[in-house]
Amino acid sequence: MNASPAAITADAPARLPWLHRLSVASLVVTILLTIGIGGTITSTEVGMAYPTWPDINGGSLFNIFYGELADAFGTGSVIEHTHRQAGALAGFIVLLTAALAWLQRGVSKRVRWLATATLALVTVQGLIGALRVLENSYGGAILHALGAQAVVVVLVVQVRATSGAPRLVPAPADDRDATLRRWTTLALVLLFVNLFAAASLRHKQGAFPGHLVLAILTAVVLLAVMRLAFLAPVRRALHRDALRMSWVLGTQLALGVAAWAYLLGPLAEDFADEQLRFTVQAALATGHLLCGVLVMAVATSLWLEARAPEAR
Amino acid sequence: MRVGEAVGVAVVVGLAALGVVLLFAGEPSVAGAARQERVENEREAALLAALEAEFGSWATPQVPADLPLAEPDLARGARVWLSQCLQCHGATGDANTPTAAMHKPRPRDLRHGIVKYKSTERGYPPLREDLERSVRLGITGTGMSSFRGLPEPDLQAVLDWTTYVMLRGQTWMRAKDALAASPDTAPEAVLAAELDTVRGLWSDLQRKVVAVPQRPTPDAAAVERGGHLFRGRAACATCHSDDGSGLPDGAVALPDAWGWDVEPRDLRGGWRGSRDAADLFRRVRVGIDGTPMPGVGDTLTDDEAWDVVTFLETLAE
Repeated sequence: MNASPAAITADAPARLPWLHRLSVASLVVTILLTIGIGGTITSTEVGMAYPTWPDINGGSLFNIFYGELADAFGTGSVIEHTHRQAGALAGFIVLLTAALAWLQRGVSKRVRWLATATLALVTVQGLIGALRVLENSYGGAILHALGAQAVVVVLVVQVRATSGAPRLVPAPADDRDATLRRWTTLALVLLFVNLFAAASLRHKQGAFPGHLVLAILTAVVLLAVMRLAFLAPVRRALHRDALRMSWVLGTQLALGVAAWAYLLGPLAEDFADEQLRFTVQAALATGHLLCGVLVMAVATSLWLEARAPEAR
Repeated sequence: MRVGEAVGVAVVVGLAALGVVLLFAGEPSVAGAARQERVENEREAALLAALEAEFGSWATPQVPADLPLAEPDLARGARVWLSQCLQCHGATGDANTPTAAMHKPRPRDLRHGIVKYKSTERGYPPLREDLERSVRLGITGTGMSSFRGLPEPDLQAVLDWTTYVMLRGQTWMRAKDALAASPDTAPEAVLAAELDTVRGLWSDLQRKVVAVPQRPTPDAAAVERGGHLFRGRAACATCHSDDGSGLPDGAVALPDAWGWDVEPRDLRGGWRGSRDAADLFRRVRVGIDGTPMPGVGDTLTDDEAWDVVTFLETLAE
């Protein structure tokens, strides 16, 4: 049975301004700093610039004298070091969010446990990063890449849960609604499978054709999801996310083609200067990764909005 | 779920499975780097042709006779190198990659046939065991991390390939220098002569291992004697300062064999490479190959060299 607008208003959870701000801050720091710098590490292949953890060849994680660090261990170590610092910053904000969720009155159990689960996931993700370094493990590196996007998914859920948006409805309203729900789930699963392929490729453990097939397949499924979202009855948030997806997916496909052309394709040898080749390749690979994170974030939001009761 | 939708989902799942299969069915994809020695004139091109007649091309490598590589698994070694070593040590072992430039100390240019941490006399190549230890355990204080997680066949194969890269590189570098110094000699003759020299350097390396005598009891008196020698007759303090803190005020860093300035270590924080006492003894005795760090040679007796080792161990604590 469809809920009336009045019922939706009565059922809507309270907006939690500080928890929401902290959740947004976690998401921004995670994507732009932690994953952005992490992607740069993989693109420039300096992940093992200093193979110690949590110290930096005996130094502190909180060292901000980057010039001295570069003098001692090279610029690669500065990139690795700032990634760890960004991860620590994201972890601190997530910790603060979880603490506030439990200390503040009027916060639902659902939000409290969600914030706690995010904290647990971020902690595990940090430990996987440590494992990757200490064991010099490409398997660990691929798992670390998957974990990063899992953190993004959970943070997107948390951002919505603290925003005062209507709670998700357990049962679909009709067949079309059920179809949309199924295909957003399928899209999310495919995104993770494709992410696994991309991470394997970046860490030289997988072959490009696998990533190509999965990327095309994921793009087609996302296009189908967008179509279903646009065909759904007027649900502003859903339409907004579908429109966002069209932008990030288009950009991602363009970056993917460029990254292939300059890393593995016909333009890979098209540089007179080795440093320029390296810079272009690293920038494209990192840009492709970051845009992929945005695709994952918007797909998560679509998954959530496909289950929202708005304007039924 | 309607039949049409169920078919659609099945097709997606099937194609996803195909993607995963393709991901692991072929060789891992690696952004390419030119695997070719650089030549600057016709004589060097002829020299390269002579090199390839002995060592094969990079795509079809072979080992010349009488070099210390029995039944190497070069194909496997090259694959491991591409995925694990290429970014720092380069396709030809020249360590001239943008990633290498982001490391300090720079990854080793293996084409000179020299490595720093080894058990042989200065000027001689390392034993396979020395290379294996660096690959398996990594080199403390550098970006050379441990590859102990590699499957054993991969690890042995990459040691084969590393040795091949060193032999080929050393022959090429020596021959290029000799060619420039002997403009009237045919490139083929130059290469043959330098290959013979390389054979000589790499043969019977066990006889070139620096002997490590029995260590006397490392007591407080040994620390005191070692400190005295460090600041006196062994002349360690000239570069490492009296307190072992590294380059003294006013002194300048000296270049290593690869052309990079190296500063003497601050020994209070330990040192790079193995912490094993026997290895430290060898470094005191013969120095560190490829660097301005000299050995004490015959300046100290065995017991005195051990005293210096004991002092250094205390300093690092």
